Amino acid sequence: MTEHRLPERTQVLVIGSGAGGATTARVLAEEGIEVTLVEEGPDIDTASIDSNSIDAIERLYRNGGMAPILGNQNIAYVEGRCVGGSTEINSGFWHRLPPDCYHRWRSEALLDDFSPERMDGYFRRAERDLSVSLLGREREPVSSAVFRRGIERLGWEYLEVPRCQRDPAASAFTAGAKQSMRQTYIPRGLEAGVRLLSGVKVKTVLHAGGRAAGVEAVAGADGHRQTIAADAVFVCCGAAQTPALLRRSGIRKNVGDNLCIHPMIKAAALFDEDIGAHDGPLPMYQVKQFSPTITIGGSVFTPGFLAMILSDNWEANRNAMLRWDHMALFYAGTRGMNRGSIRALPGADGNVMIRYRLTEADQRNLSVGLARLGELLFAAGAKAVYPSVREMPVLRSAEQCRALLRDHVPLRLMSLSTVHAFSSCPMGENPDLCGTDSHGRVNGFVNLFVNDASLIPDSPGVNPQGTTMAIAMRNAEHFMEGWRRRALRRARSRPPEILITGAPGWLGTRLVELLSDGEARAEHVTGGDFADKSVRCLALPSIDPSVLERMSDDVEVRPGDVTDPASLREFFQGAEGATLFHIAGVIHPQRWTRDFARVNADGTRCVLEAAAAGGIKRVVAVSSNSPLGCNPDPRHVFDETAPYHPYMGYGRSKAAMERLVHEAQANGRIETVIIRPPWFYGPHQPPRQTLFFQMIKEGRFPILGTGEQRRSMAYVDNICQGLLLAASTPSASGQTYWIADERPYTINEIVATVEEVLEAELGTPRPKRRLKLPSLVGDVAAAIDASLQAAGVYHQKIHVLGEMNKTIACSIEKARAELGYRPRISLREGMRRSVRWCIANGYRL
Amino acid sequence: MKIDRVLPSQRRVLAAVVDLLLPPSPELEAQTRRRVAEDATRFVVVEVESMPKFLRMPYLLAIVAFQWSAMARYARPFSRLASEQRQAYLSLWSHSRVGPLRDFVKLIRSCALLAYFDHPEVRAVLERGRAAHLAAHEERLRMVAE
Repeated sequence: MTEHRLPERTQVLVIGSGAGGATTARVLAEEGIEVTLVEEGPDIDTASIDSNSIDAIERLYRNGGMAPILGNQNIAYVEGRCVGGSTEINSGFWHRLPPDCYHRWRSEALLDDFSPERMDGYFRRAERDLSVSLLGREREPVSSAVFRRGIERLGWEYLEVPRCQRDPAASAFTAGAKQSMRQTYIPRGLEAGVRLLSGVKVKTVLHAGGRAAGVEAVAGADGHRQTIAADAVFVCCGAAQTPALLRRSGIRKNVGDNLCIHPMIKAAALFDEDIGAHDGPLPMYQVKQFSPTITIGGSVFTPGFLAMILSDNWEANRNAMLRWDHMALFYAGTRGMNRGSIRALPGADGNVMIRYRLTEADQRNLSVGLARLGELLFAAGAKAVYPSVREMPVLRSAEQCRALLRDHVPLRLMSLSTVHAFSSCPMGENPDLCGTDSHGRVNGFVNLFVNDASLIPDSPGVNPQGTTMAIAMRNAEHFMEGWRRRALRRARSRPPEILITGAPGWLGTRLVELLSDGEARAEHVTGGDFADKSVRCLALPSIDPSVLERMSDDVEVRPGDVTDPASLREFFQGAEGATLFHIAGVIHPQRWTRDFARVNADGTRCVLEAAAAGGIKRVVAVSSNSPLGCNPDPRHVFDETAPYHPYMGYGRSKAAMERLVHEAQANGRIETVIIRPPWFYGPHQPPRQTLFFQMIKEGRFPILGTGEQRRSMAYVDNICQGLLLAASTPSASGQTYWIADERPYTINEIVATVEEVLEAELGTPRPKRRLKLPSLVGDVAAAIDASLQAAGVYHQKIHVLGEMNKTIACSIEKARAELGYRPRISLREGMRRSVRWCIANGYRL
Repeated sequence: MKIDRVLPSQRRVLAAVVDLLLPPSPELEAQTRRRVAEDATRFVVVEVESMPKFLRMPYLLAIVAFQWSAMARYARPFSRLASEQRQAYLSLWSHSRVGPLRDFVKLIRSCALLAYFDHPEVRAVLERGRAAHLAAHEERLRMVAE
């Protein structure tokens, strides 16, 4: 119902009540969360209205069905705008996700936690709730019987498509037969306590610092803007409106840029027999012979819909309407080959522009689809086929249809439509493609989610309602896990014994993992008491805490920033006597070198002050090799007595950091230990390290000079061992230690080892050649890097190239002697584990 | 007066176009046909007004252009043309080589035909015709069997 006074606050706000939103609201409400579900459209009793009628088009369709997708050929696109969304206006066909999509989405979108086994339960649940069923051959309508006759004469593969319908034999026009959201999940959600507000248009999502605070919305046609505050916001407005709302709210990264659709061409066919397609059940069959690229099936029929198909050549075809009862409608749907865009245009009524440019491949597929459809219909006994193609009023034979396989129909002549749109905000871990993480959390936000067809990473080739609902259930349950975990942790409220800054990073994540997993930890550390410790991590507010929180109930994540004293005060609250691992830092800033000093030096100052004030016992601070710079010759190694000679901006910031740590120790308010790890590798690596493997695999990794320059490297578990020893060795207070693998390696050795590991793990042969460049290239890159950094600009690839002809090697003798440090993982074993981690996590090497 | 809505003058143009586009069959009584044509026009107006604003405004301008560009050919606006002239002028637009002119007519035609053939009164006539046809067919079959 439309309430002109909106609630001021709710725990979870779900925007949109279609397949994604209704599912989300129901799942969360049944778990006891206070859910407010807002819907822009009206709440109409769809059980009393034929969803294919003129009345329905006016009342249930967005823009009365008049919002085309613009491009080189406009495509008619319809979506619902009412309680229940597009499930109120679609045909109610049901498909599970085709198996090939699982593998493709894992490898291309880097989608985690997604497999047929994982999703099976969600599909089953939805199928039970929506009465998904088959009609069965014995109740086959005439239009489907003639269609099957054609398929079987041609020997093509086909299937009967299940439908969400309580009585599958009911007519496609029997109001209330289809089990839409308005008939199923909306009432169940209301029973569970969902507060449904229809006629409420959300104008913008309010957010700051990576947290959604709520929304600004308008109730009714002339209402004024009101704010609804929420602990979490789910945007479920469909593939077009979700990205539009996010973009209107200033959230644009990978949002609205990857739209996929299923363009469709329709045709009417005339048969000798009376078909009576206007009052039978939904068409039953779908041809799978050409799937996933092309699918062919029957369409819902009314005399009005038939007239629309014929209207492309109305003057030539108008007399065909006299035999309307001998005709049926069919479609050839294709998997769109391009990517479209969604843009919110300025204006009060929320204009949304959808663009999609059909490619030559789309044109070919549509032509082939039409040719195959025509072939099938003539095999079924059709006397004439009327395609929705201008200047092609009628096809009279199968030969005429097959000619379209060679001579493709020009796009400009086709009348196209689609009811399937998705992928406008894809989920996954691929930073170049995805707008959300693998569970729908919008990138850069901690409590803002998308949960509808926008998340589907690319075209599934089938009706997406089933997939949308299954994904929505999975994501809602994942959200609930985190919600419950946080509630439990609040209830237990154990004071932290270990604190970690920068935990969501590469090294920090692995450290939390080892602290949570005694068996894994035992491989590296036998001394020290780290069992059953409560851990508190500081993470930027925009970081998803669930990855860390899932590791153990003893891990708590607090939002904050090392440069923000207020959030640090909260972080250290109640942590007297704890040990702090200060790992947060910037190695490769996005663009500006000023971030080095701001985070590495100023951030450390803030952390040390807050830690001392909070009564922290010991700080183990992670530094780097960079304050020492590069070794003077390839045989030289640094020890802890080497003087500072910082390398570029990063080195200077880390040198400043070390000085601050020494000062804190000298003040006597806190114990400190400095750990200097060099280039590290291992699980949880960032994309740049995956690129390192890819370049070696393809022979593109640059070896400068002879390749005999040496680098100390450190497998992350070896560093974690050093960190834990530094924390638990009383005499380490005030000391600095190099922590690395057993010995430095030459660049040639590193590359050869990775090549061997990749060959063994992936079965791909080693590259025939390596990219060898003169050492001068490194010197030139270093000079350019220095010039850029002098101007305040950072370029990661130039910086890394500039280091590649230099020796950066250290001795771990002091750590061996004083901490008992014994690196357990060799270069080969470490690289093997890294590669396996990449494969297990869907990274393409 | 809201300029982003269909004005009465524009509605009259749309009604005239709809009238030209509606087919003579199935045969309807004059009064019924008038009612159906009115409903079809109303549906076309609703659809035009439902368009997103960035499409609606150009479409409303196109209605005005359609009405007045007839002056160039016939020295009269569209709504004051004789029936044959209206038909010829409409045909000129619907077969134009300029895509937007064709699209202008296509939208009205497809909406009008949808509203016409799915109108309850037209559907009733169609159903009656079908029932009569089926009965005759069954009668033929019965006679052949006998």
